[in-house]
Amino acid sequence: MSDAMAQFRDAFFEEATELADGMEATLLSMDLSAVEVEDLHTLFRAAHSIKGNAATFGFPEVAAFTHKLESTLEPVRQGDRPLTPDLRELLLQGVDLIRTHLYHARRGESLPVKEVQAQAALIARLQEDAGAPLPPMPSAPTTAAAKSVTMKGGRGYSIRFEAPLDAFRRGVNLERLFRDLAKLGTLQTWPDLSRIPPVEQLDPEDCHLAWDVRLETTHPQMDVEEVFEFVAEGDNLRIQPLAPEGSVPTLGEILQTEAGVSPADIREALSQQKRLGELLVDMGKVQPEVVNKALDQQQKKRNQAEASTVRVATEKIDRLVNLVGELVITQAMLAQASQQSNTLQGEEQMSAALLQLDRQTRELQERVMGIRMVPVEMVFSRFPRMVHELGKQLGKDVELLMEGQATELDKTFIEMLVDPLTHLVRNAVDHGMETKEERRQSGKAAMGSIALRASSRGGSIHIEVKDDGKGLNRDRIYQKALDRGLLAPGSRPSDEELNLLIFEPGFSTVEQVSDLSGRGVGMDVVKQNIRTLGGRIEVESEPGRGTLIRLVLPLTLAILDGLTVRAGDETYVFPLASVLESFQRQAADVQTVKGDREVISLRGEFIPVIRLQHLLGVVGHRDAAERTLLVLVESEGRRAAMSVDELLGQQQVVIKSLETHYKRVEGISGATILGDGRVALILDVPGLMRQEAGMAAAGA
Amino acid sequence: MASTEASSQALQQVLCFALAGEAYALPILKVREIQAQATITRIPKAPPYMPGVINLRGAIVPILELRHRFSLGEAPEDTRPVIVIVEVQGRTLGIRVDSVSDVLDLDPNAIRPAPELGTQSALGREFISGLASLPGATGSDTMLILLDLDRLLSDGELSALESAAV
Repeated sequence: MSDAMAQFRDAFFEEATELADGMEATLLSMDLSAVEVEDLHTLFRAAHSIKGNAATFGFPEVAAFTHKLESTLEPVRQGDRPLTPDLRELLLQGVDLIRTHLYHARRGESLPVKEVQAQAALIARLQEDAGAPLPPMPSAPTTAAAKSVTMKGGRGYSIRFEAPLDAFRRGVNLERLFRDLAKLGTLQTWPDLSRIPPVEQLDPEDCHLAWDVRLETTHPQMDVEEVFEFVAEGDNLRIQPLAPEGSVPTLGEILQTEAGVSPADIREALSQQKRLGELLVDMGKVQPEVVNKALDQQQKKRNQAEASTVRVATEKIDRLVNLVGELVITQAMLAQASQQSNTLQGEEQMSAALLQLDRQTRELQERVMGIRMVPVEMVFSRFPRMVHELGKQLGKDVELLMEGQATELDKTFIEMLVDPLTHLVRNAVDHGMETKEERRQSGKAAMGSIALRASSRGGSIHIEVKDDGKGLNRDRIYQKALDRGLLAPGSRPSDEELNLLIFEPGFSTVEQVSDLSGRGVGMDVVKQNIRTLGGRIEVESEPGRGTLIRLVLPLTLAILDGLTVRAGDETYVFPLASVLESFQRQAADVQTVKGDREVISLRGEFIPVIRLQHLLGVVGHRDAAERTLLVLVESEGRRAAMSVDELLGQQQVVIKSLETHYKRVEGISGATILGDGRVALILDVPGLMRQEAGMAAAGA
Repeated sequence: MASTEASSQALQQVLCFALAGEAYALPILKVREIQAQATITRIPKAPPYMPGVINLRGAIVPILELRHRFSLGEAPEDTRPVIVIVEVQGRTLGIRVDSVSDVLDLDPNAIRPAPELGTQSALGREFISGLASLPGATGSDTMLILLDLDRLLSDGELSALESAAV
């Protein structure tokens, strides 16, 4: 396929996915007691667009299925069929199926058998639910689909037909079917007798016959379907267009046409064919886990490849273009001013232009960063559906309130937030929320509510998941933490510290009986992802009133607020987020433990002192005793005081990857370029602390 | 051998540079640019032959200290080292040399395979793609050592870069 076509296909998948999302959102937001006609039109239009585009781009399966949805919607739109809650569920499932279709079509796979069955079942239910048989849709998508095939130079169809069991009893003339088919074009058939049971179990009045047919024809698929009109039921008829002329036929196809091998045999052979991984495992070359891991990796790569585009609002691009225009003018101003730099006027012009340049570069930087920003809506949009389903499943009435969907977040964040937020919302519905009876007993409204809020506060983004459920049982958490050795016996942690314990790995997965169970299922994933993003988690909980979990994230991954320091001859950057304070140390505060480990007593707390220069092996000419500046850092609940030579200032730095041309370095999270063009390394505080702990252990 | 194989090729352009008084050369097609002035930021606990990184117009590029790589000792105080930026196997790397002299057209026929230098030598034969003799100013020939960048970089610890990048 040409590049251009591939590009259009990508656009089709993106658009179709968006349309499906739109359908889902509309379905969920509809008030079934007072359906807005406009909403129905929206649904119908979306289904219609997907159908039309799918047919154009050569995905007849997608088109055919969407057509079924569309024809279900038609009487609803006309007011002939009420939109019942059941029908809504079916339509939602339909939307899911469209997504599944798209997912597989994008990979060039056909729909897995399981999904095909689900689809047949769903179509059946959509139709039976209508009460009356559907009016036939003459504008058939099948024509559209077939047309697309002819457009691509369709040569015909490969047909698999399994005769209905009662074909003989009904007196169906099977022979005639083939005669009719033969009229359409060149016909090749392979009877499949493998479905006939052993003779002692055979009821001679049952029909167990099946055929694989290869029909070369230019007729549209609809004509073929017509032939089978009275015998096609459920999924006993499968029609697939043959690969277009000019494309390389599969080996199976050649064997079929040239050597007369029956399609049933080919299918059987293919089903025996093992995947590479299985073969290797069988040979004993690799462990199954290794293969699974590799498959996971492959999947991840695939996902990455797919997610590598960003849709940017035209408005954003326009503003960038304007800005670049202004920059060009400023540059001209500067050039002119530099020519007259010896005059007073020239000097004034110069400083004015420089001021302008300063403002424009800053704005340009912000706007370019803004391209990576996408509204948090992208994550939020999946939750109405999820809460709806979960509520139904668990028999809880839950409403979902969302605020601040327009808040923008870095694209990377959006992707990494999906899992954590899904866990949090699911846990809130499943475990945070009481049952209806419990709610009634405690005098709350039967309808529980979950609020998802996103807001931008200064340099960070807050995302909150709040439920009005029973809240965390801190006594239980305390007990459990003692049992699991997370807390020392007799310690008195604060409420906040106890709340955060629910994010410890496997904290409550072990014992499913307690009422906080499940609150820890996957919660460590939340912690992990948020930490990777450089954010933190806050938990507020009030017994009987509910729980609020707040994710605090930096605005972007590309820029960081840093504290630049000097150690020896080198400049380093501390991420400001992990710096608590910096202070001058007094000799009296420092004590040595075991001879060389230094600790400092700060407001009654003993904190280890880490000599940055020593830890990083920096060359310098200073005597250790002179280093009196300490930067107090915190990570993962541990604190340390890092001794540095000089504090250079606080500034925003652009993060550059060390890994592009070099490699990962322990204790360093990246690099940045300072105003003078030199490279400064950004310190990875948690990594440094681990390294220090390792050295201490080795030294002890 | 290399000479018969090369006879069909046109002249090969190489960039010549000096290192501890010896003349070396790199195929010019591997060279991206030459940086005279750059401050190296040291990387903690990096091996001495790869001490740090520089800022190359916004990209962070590691530096290979060729003197250390070949165990030629420290550069004398008065030399101002130059960084040759090369691209090898898709990654950018700076090579620090004493000075850059010339771009030469070499006749592939004049390139001879390097003799066995013994296993003790830090500059093993494997890094050398050949030797060429140049007519010197004084009449005596000078020898030019042609380096094989790919092999130089695929060796030992440097290949850690490769695995780290995947």
